Amino acid sequence: MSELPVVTYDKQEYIETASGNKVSRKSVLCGAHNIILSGKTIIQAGAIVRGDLANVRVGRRCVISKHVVIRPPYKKISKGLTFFPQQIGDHVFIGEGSVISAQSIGSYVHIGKNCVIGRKAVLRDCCMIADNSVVSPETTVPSYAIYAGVPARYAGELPGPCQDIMADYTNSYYLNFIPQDPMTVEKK
Amino acid sequence: MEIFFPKVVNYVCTCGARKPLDVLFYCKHCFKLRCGECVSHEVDTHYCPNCLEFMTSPEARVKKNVCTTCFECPCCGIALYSRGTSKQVPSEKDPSNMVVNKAYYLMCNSCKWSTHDQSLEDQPTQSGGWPRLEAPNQDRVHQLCEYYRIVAHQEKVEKDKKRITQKCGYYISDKYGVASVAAKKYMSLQVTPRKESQKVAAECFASKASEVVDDLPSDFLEELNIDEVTNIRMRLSNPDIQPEKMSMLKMRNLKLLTKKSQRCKECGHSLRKSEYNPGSVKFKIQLSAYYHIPYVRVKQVPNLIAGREVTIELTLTNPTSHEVAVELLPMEEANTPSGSGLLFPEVTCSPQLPKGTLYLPAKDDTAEYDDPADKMDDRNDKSVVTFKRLNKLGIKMQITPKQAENVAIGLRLKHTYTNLIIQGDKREYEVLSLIHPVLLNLSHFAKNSISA
Repeated sequence: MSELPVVTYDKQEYIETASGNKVSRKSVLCGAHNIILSGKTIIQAGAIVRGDLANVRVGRRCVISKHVVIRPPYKKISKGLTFFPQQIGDHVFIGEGSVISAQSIGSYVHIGKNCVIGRKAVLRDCCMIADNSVVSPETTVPSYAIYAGVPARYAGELPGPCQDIMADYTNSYYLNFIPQDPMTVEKK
Repeated sequence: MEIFFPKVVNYVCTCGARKPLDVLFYCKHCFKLRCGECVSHEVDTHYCPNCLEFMTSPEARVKKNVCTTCFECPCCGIALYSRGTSKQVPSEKDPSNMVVNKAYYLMCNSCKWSTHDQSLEDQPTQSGGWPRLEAPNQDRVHQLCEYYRIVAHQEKVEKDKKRITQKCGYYISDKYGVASVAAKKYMSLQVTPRKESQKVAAECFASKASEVVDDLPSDFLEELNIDEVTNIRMRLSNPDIQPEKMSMLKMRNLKLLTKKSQRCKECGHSLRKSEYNPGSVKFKIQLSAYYHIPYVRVKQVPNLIAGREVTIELTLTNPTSHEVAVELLPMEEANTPSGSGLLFPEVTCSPQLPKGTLYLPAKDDTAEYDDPADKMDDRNDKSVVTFKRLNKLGIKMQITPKQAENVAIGLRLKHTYTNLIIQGDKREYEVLSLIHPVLLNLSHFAKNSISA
């Protein structure tokens, strides 16, 4: 693997909380009182987190890329719909443009770009969803599995040190996600 | 995929295979790298990817390697989910009264195929009770299996008889208890297969080759409705029926996945052993090379132009809890008689490697929680080292590519490895020196460089 490139952002655009979360002002957090970010999590521009539907809990050192939609799962009942709380573990990377309606996502999970995770799906720890996959509703993705395709099916096995690879990846993503120097911005 | 299966940096396994460090094993008994092809794989447990129920190999064999409770969609191959319906039916006790009866059927959440399409009746319970799919040629397959089991047994008997008669030309003294073992072995050869299997095998007949093949159905192309015909994947996923029409599709039990452990083929020690529970991501033994061998990564490569010298930046990461001294040696020496004898035809460019030893600090698991000031180690050459962050060191080197495409450099990574020896209560550390050839494929960066 090559080292992750440095990604710079405009300091004005991002809010950094005391626990190290970096949330873009261009993201939409609905029902902010229902959203818990455990620390050092990045939410990029255009992302939507629907905390107004149900509680959303995101673990430490997660990356929620641009234009990701996080939407708690629902179930039809006789009187309409009920929404269920949604949990996302630590060191989870969600690629650009993905829509997440999973019931729970474990830790050390890598979700590629433009994926759809159907409602009430369960992603166990250490699994991977390849780019452009559609995980159909209520699917369980076991640990160390790679799911790919439409609908997503078992496509391979992850290497043993996947847990540390993912932790290292999200850690270095956070370290390389740095504010642009205001001086250089002015010069431009 | 690039995260878990990187293509840029490949380590050369002891067998010569080029593999990323993540998928390699490090045998700490032979002190050598091992790849997936030079370890033996053993299946620990079988588990269902849907309900995560796990079982041992004999149990899985009895269940024919499928989960008994979960089913897969015959159209798209994903698990089917149970749906409940309620129907009003006349009560058994009093037919004039209507009662609500709950029934369950299975449906695919992706293509909406359901058990109704197979005209199966709804079940009164949420899971189980579904009929198991019987293969049309099941009896014939069973006959053949029994027949070949007997053939294999006979062949083994003849082979072993020959061996024993050759060896038993002399008297075996019972001083060492060998005679009883030999006698047992001889007795085991006398065992004949069960009568039932003999009976089944006796009915077995040889299949006949035929030149006559059924003609294509007359309406094959004329009245084709694409929505009613199955695709190749649907047919091949159900080999014993090979349904041609959508109405012939039948759901199957979900196939089991396995958890495997790896063992070194040379010394027989376990290299990786996972926990039996499929929900657990921990390992009882984990000797992945990722945790023992310094990790080389490419940080920055400018545009590569043939004949022009450029500076590339690499990083070295120490995954161990001991300090590691690294030396980067050129590749050529490996081809000399004293080298490993491996050839690297893919190397198209030789870098100007930094001379001297580089010292990588030990990995500190608590470092994530505080921000220690990173001081440069005075022993490291400051003209080579670009930065230091915890257990990671950035180094630069010059390369002069001969061509703009397919630029690959090779180097030998010589590093120290601290091995812990436990003898009784004594704990001793010995420092070893290991060399691994590393190949870096820079052609990914040839056109567009990463901006740092």
